Order: sequence, then structure tokens, then C-alpha cells
Amino acid sequence: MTKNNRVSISLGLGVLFIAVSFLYLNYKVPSMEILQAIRLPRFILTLITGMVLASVGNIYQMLLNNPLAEPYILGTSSGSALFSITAYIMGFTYLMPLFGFLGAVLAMTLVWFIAKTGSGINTVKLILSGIIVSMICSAVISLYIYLFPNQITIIMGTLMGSLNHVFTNLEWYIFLGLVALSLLLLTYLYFLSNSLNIISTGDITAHSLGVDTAKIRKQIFIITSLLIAIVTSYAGIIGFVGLIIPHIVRMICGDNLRNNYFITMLIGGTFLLLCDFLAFHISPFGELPVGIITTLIGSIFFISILRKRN
Amino acid sequence: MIYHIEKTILLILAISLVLLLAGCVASKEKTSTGIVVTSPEVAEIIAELGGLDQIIARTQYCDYPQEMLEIESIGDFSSIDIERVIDLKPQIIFVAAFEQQEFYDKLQPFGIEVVKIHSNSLEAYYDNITLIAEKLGLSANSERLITKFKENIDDLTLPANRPKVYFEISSNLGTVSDNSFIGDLIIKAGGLNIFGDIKQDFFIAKNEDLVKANPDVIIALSQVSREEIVQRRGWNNITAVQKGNIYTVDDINIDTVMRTIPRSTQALQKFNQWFLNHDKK
Repeated sequence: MTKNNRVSISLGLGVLFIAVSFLYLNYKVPSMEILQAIRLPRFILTLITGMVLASVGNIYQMLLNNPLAEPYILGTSSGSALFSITAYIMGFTYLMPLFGFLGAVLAMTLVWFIAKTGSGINTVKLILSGIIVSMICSAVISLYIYLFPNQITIIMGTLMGSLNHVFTNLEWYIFLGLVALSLLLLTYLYFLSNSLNIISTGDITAHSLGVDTAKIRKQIFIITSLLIAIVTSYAGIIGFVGLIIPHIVRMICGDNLRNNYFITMLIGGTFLLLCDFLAFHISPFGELPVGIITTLIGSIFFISILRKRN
Repeated sequence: MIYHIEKTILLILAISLVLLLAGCVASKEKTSTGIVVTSPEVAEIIAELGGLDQIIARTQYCDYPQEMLEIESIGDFSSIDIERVIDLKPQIIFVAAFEQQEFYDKLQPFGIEVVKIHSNSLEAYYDNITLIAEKLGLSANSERLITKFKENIDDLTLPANRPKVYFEISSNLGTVSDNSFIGDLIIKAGGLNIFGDIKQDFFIAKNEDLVKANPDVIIALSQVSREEIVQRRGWNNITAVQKGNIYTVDDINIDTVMRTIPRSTQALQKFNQWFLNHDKK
């Protein structure tokens, strides 16, 4: 894809993003107070979640050389879900995001510990450890569902993912700090994209080109886990965005991570905003879990692109 | 590995022996009459009807009145020892309607009468008292129980200015409509549920709608503290928050609200007090 094409696509997507943001924030014209205290926080949460999920998904698919890799594949999200549900069951509703974050970091450490080999980490071992840690966490979550059937709405809310987190003032300022951190980490990842492009061609080639694969993998693993920890601790587990958006972007913009990095982020954010908008307004009273909408819309879109390419 | 094989076989044999012996443990003696209750609500209604002596087994959460605790427990709400129930040969087992469908399906073939009780409104609650009393041969007492509840409702002074009420069950803004027992309690106590006219009994509310509805009283039984509610973004202009009309689990016995039981009149009276005082602050 030529640079000109890329620029025009980026421009188009930028306009789309602005349109969706406008719709999201202004639909049914809320009062200034609601806009500022409720809609804007949700907008930022949704946007950053979409951006992080799509970018991390994209990076994992390259790093692990696996088209089925998604942000949750390395167990971080299950650890996060498990710990935030534990906080809720112990009666610390307020601490759910903090616990979620701790859970994600713990799960990440555990996965790292299992997957670690002498010189670095092996991709297959990394995926397997991620799946095993996920399974352990899911088993305990199932146990919770069994033992505390009356807490099911919160447990399901975390597992299905929802962007209706009710922020208290303190939490909001902490969250803003975390958003800033996420943006920094996302930018840092961009500067690793060249090395990642090289790693995706195989370790031997990468070594011969002077890329320290072990070091890069370790850095990426830690940074992406932190990013996923931040978004899952507020939004729960939102499926599909991190799996499909990178594929769609690669079909349009090609495999070069350096070229498609920001476009992935932009599409991820726009897509989740649109899905959350629908999840929020489609039913007259309550909300639908956003994961249902992301999967439905995303897969229809994906099928149509797949067909066209044939 | 080969040289460990004898040890391994010995270990397997030893484990098998232990398991065989464990299988010989006899079950407790059998009883042949009486009823089993798995639902805390039904247990309380039965006790109130004077049928406590008919209960031969309960679940862990059937914990009121005090005497109930002396009865054998056969599990908790979601995991019930079905074998023990069959062993006890009760005449009737009372289960909660939706959550315990599984037990209903399993016990039906053994000739044990399974009665599902779920009161999703005040009317259903009265009907269920009549039904339970009939099953236990205590019909004489049911009318008294129902009348007592109704009298309690009639005795309330309703506020001249009915406050708008938000009732929170879970911290993700899970709430109830008028189509629920709690919804009925709010109405009878003189409140107006801000989400009253929604069809579903339970659902997750939208934060925006809630702030727009501007409730005068907030009852939050979702484990959150008053401070957390005050701190929620955008809630500082809600009347209930400004006037301090926020009530949490610290202010009420949560069982009297979440269970449909004779003691629910206590919740009714508390609600009524709160609603009466809402504009006096």
C-alpha cells in the first residue's frame, strides 16, 4: 500500500472517529453536568479500552506468530477478573479496579515464571502458560458463581465486559493518571514496532539482523500486560475487538506494524465507541453487555471483508 | 522409572483399600415424615405458621428463627445433598422457583412432592402463604399471618409528598421495578420508584437516567458505603445526596428486604420512616 493511500485512509478514519465521538457524546443532548460527569468518563474509558485491545491484539498476533492470538490469551485478563470479583465478594466494591490490576500483574508474573526458559521465552510455552493460568482463574470464578449465586450480576458483568463503571471522584483522578500512562506505553510500543516486524520473520533472521529477541519479547510482554491490566480492571473482559480489528486493519493496510499501528488504534477506539453507543441506546431501559454487540457487528463486518478479498 | 513400579503399585493398592473402606461408612438413620426446606423465605414462613416441628432438614441460609439452627442442614442454597434428601424420605420439599429447578427435576421421580415457591409481588406472597399452609395442614393460621401483614401496611402514615426512590441491589446500578416484591414494599411505604414502570423485575440501570430522575431517597443494599455514593461522579446534585437521604446495609437488616418473609414488615416500616422524613432535612 502506498503512502498516499495510507494518508487518505487515515484522514477518512479521522473524520469517522470525530463523527462517532460527536454522536456518542451528544446523542439526546445531555445536560452539561451529565455530559461532563458521566458521559465523558465513559467516553474516555471506552476509547482507551478499544485502543488498547486492538493494539495489543495486533502486537500479540505478530509476536506470537498466531492469527488467533488476542489480548486475553496470556491470562492477564482472567487474573484481573478473578481478583476484582474476589474484592467484590469480600465486600470491597470500591477496591475492585485495584484488585483487578493486582490480579493481572500476579497472573502475568505466574505466566512468565511458567514460560521462562534459560535464555528467554518460547512462544508456544508462553501461549500454553497463558491458557493454563486462564483456566485456573476461570475454575475459581466458576466456584464463586457456584458458592455465591446471588452475586451473579457483578460476576457476569466482569466476565461479559461492561463500560458502565461508576466512577467516584478519587477513582476518576486515578483513572486519568492510568490513561496517561497507557498512552505513554502505547507510544513506546510503537517504537518497538520495527523490531517486532523483524521478530515476526523468525528468531534466526532477527538475530542475524542484530535484534535481541529475548529482551524485546520481555519488554513487550510486560508493557502489554500492564495495558491489559489497566483496561480490564475497569471494563472487564470485552471479547472480539482485540482479535478481529487487527485482521481487518492488516487486510486494508498490510502487515507492516509500523504502518498500521496508529490506524489499528484508531479503528479499535472508533469501533468500540460505536458498539458501546449501540449497547447503551438500543434497549429502552437497561444496557446490553457491549461484548454481544462487538461480536455481532464485528463478525458480520469481518465476514463481508473476507468474502470481498476472495 | 522402572524401579519405582512396585512402590507405585503398592500405593495404588493402599489408596484403593482406603476408598473401599470409606465406601462402607453407613449413612445416618432414616426418618420418614416431615418436610425439607431449601429456601430461607419458606423456612421463615413455615416457622411463623407454627410448623417448625415438621421441618426435618434445611439449608445453611435458613437461619431464622434461632430454633431453625438446631435442624439438620443439607447444604447451602446452590449445592444440596440430594442423596441425603432422598434418604430422609420427606413428604414435601420446598424449593425456590428458578434457582433450584435442578433439584425439582431430580427429586420428582422419587415420589417426593416438590413445591416451588417464589414471591415476586406482595400478592404472590399472600398466595404462597396460603399454599404453604395448605400443604402443611396449617390453613387455620395462614389468614392470621396475611391479615397481620396487611394491618401493618394499613397502619402506616403515608407521606403527603411521595419521595422519588432509587433502590440499588448491586454496585453496577442493578435495581428493581414495581414488578417485584421490593417494588411493592416501596409503593406501600409511600415511595415512588424512579424505575418503577419498567417491565423486568430486575435490571441494570443507566447512570444517566438515574441522575436525570433525581431521586429524593437512595436505598443502596449493594455493599457500598454512604461515602462512596456521595463521591460518585455527577451524583452531587441529586437531592438524596444533597440532603443526606442515603441508606445502606448499616441502616437495615438486609434479610428483611431481600427475603419475602413476615419480617418484611420491619423493612416496610423503616422505608416508611425514611420516606416520611425525606423533606424534613
